[in-house]
Amino acid sequence: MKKKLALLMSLLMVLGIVFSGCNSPAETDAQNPEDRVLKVRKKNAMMSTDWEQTTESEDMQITFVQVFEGLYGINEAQGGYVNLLAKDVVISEDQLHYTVTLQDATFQNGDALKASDVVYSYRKAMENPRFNYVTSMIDSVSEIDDKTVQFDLKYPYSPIAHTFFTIKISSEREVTEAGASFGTAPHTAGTGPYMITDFDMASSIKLKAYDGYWRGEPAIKNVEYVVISEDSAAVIAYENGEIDYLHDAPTAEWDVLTAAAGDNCTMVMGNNIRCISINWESKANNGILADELVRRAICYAIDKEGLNLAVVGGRGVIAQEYMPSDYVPTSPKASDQGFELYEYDPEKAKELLLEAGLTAAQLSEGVDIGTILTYGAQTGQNAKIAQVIQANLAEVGLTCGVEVLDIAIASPRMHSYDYDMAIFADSGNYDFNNIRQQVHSESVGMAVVRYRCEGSPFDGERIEELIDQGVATSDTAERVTYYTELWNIVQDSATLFPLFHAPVGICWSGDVNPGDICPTYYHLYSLSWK
Amino acid sequence: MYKYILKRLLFLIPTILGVTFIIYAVMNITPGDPGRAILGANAMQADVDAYNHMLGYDLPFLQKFVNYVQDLFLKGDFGISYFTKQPVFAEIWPRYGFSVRLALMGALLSAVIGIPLGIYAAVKQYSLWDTVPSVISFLIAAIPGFVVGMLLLYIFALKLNWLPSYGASSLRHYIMPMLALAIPPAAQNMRFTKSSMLESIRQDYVRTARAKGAPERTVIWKHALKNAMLPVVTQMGLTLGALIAGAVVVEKLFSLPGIGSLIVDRIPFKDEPVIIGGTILLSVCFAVIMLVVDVIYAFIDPRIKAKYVKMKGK
Amino acid sequence: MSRNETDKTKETILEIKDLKVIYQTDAEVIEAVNHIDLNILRGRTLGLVGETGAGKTTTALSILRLLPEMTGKIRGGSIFFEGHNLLEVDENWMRALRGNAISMVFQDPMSSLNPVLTIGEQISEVIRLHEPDLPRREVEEKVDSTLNLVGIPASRKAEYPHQFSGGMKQRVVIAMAICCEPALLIADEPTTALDVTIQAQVLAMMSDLKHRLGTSMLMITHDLGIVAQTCDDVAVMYAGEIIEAGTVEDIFLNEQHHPYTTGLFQSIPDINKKSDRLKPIPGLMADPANLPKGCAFAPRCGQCREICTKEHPVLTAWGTHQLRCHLFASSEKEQERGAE
Repeated sequence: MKKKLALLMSLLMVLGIVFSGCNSPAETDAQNPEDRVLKVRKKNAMMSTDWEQTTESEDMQITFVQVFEGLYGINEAQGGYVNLLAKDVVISEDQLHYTVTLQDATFQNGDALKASDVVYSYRKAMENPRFNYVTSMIDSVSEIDDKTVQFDLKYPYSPIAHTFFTIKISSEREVTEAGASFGTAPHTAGTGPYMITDFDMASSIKLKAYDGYWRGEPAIKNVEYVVISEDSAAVIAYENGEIDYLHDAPTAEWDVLTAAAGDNCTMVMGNNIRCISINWESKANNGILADELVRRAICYAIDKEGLNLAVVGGRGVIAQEYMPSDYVPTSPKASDQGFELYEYDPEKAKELLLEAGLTAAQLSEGVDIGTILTYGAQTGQNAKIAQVIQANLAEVGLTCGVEVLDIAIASPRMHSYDYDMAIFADSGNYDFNNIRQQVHSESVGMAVVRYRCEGSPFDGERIEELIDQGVATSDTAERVTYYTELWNIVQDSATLFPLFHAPVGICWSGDVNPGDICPTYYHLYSLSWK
Repeated sequence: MYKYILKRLLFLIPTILGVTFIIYAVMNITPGDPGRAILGANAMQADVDAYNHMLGYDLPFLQKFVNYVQDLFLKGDFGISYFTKQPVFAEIWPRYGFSVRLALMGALLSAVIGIPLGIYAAVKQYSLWDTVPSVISFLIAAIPGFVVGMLLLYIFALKLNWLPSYGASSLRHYIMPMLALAIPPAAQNMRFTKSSMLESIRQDYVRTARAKGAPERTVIWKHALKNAMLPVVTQMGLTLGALIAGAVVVEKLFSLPGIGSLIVDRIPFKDEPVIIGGTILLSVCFAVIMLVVDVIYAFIDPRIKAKYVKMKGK
Repeated sequence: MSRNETDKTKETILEIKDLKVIYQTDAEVIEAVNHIDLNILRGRTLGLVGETGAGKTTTALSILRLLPEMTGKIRGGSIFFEGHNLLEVDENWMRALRGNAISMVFQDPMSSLNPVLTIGEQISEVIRLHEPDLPRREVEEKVDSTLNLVGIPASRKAEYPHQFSGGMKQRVVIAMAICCEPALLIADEPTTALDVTIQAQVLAMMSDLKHRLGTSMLMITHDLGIVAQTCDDVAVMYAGEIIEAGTVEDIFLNEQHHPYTTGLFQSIPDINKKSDRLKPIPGLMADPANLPKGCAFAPRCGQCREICTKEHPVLTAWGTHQLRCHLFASSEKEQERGAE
């Protein structure tokens, strides 16, 4: 009997331990619209609440847009860069001095936005090597008066707009008070429409509307980002009504989602672009890719429509420009016909190959041109693209292999030009100057093709000249001409070829007005309850 | 007996050392680094290197190993995560606690389902009580845990709308994950218990018990079962251990903050302190579970208790 | 040796009539016990002798209805004990009987005891099963006295079976069997697993108990020496049949025997006779799944006649001595008795 009692006691103890840890707060079903919580899905845990420390694009959607603000913002739905905290910007004649007048805004902690905060934020960011690429051109930032800041550049740099967007303004007082622990907990150091009130890194991030927001209090008062890493679970949660706003919905389940969402969903062209790069320095088959005719043939052989269909079910958008000219005004438009588009033409491809000196016999057997390298999951988009292109090339008589590796292995190889052809993705491009990362000889570790080097058949110097000219003027039309010439050189070389833009699906619940539809930086501020 | 337990606990120290060493060694050999993973594929290599240096990732792995062990044993410090720059212990402890709780619930449930079914199947061998659960358990054993979880989600969250599909904030949230965790091991438990019971029932002392005039219930539950429990207890211990770390799939599916998914998530970032910290906690837990199992053995079977006591070293 | 062979009013405590038991498996039917009759008299020990596979254990299990559920089936006959046919009473009745009025001691003491319970507990379990209202203190007293009876110090009752030697374990088993003072004790080869010296001790103890408590016993064994030592009556079993029965004098001293019995005696080595080879009975025991027509022993019998292979022999009796053999089925029955 004693033993039975002991067993029962230990069982009760175990159960007690087990249940003591379970919270059971009553889930209040908010009837009052003031209390309703907008539930948004987040794929992964959030690293930090400090904008400077967030590197993950999903995290940036929260810290860069809802919580913090920069001098400029980005609204993809409305053409690109917009003035945000910068009420007014005056550019000097020599384009070396930018005088910015600040909005009458307040931080979430109640302090007024002052020029000193801007100076503080910029100086801090300039010390962070991660932002070198947007701050290296700044000579100094200084406070003129409480509401005016002056930027002195080392050289004219028109893409400073991206800097003004990227560097966010934080409350100097609060950040210095918090010290090293800033970013680990909820704070009120931003000027944005929402502040983080709860930060349970792995499971949820709660935002509350900032009632003193300088543009007026947001319509939706409470937001909760819920971490659901599994796509199918997220779809079920949306169908179940447990998620109200599903941004960048899993495209594999799009049919299921549209069925459940009805009118409350849309698919928009993403900023993310898939490209193929052809390495003229490739050693495959005795350097066959050094022949420009062969490379151009490859471009003609690629069936972008077929790619779109096979890889994203036709929901993507064929890319002919490297950056969407809809909200990147400096991007050369395909419709202006300033550069070769390589419209799908397998016959032309075969002609070029014959012109290059390959015989019909060789082509019917298949000429080896190396391997298409890419990264990601074996069943991921990049891998599928590689396989479709492999099939396209086979049609015109070119054979190649496909190699899908872990990004940690593929990336260094691509950046050291140790590959034949590669599929990669690029995103976050809002100013055409970003092409610098792909074509300038200083972009070591970022570019995948060399244009200016010993033995290069291209006019690398001219490319770099055009880049410099592009930043030296702030006249958009002028910049477009430079970039058109640049892009023309690149397209003629047939080394970097855009394929398509991945689609971004957005779903929302029937109670929500989805506001501005943006593929990357959506604004919760524009959402409201029906 | 206490000496035996103490000896087993002391074995934890070389275990911890071994785990730490192996993980540092493996992380050292595998490609990738936190800097590249955090800053992204397009970051400049110089920035990546600087970041790694700031984290202390680029030290030689033996150096890192020695530093870690020193900090751990002398200061009880689990280090700082490369990913969040937060103290590792504060991050892993709540998630570890959660996983332990969930695993305990799952293991308990699997025992509650599996053991009685196994006993009935053994006692009523060849009858419906035997064939039906056996067939069902074969089917379940063939279905991967992920699919079981998805089915539960589909039926209970989506179609019936009875249970929430993500999170861990209320008791209702635990129901489906618990089921998803408990069902596959329950099937195994059932088969295991059944075979152990079958063996036990065939023993002579069971016949003796019947010859004493004991009612069948007593014969089964008092005589046969106690002897059959030994392998079943081991199995339960292993199940529990496997559920704590191995619940990753269920954690991901139901968006639960468990330790398994934490470790898995940090691997691409090569967040060594968290991976090691988490794994150490798991190994300690597993060792403790095995110790508890062995101690339970001693309470069930006095022959084993005698062995332990003898092992004191006369 | 005082014995009342002629006292026909001696009470029969267990009467088995025409018992038929089979084991039914998917492959075959094993005819283990074929229409046997057995009587056990009050206060006397019946020895059931035979080779392995003769059906002795099956008979014993049938008395207590402990045959394996799935395969063992009683196909006919009756077993009367204290006025009731045990084959017709319900399971509750049997449970009240087991360990209480009829107890059984099994062959292998090593495995007969539950290793995870103390011996004290295993003995007190029997007592508590059959005397549920007895207060705890008295139960313990009874356990102690029973242990003393079998020669185990009561102080050891909290120990586990593995802490006892083979002989002591068997004593514990016997203690379990007698603690409720059964009227009939069935002992299935109780000393086979023990070595000879321990064997003698255990047998002596069992005899002693029998005299003290007046228990009747069914002693199953293949060892004729034990039969001579402990039994009052004997039945010889072969291929599921009783082929010879009688008092122990009948079997040991009479001249007439079933050829099988003769063979059994001859296969015992005699320390006084010099011999190069032992004389076993040739051949193997008949296959109980496939019994021959006629006499089951015929294939091995040295005195086999034609009738033996065709007709099944019936039991003929001379007083207490019964034989089932065509040799003795003649019309003139010569009575031969051994001198006292």
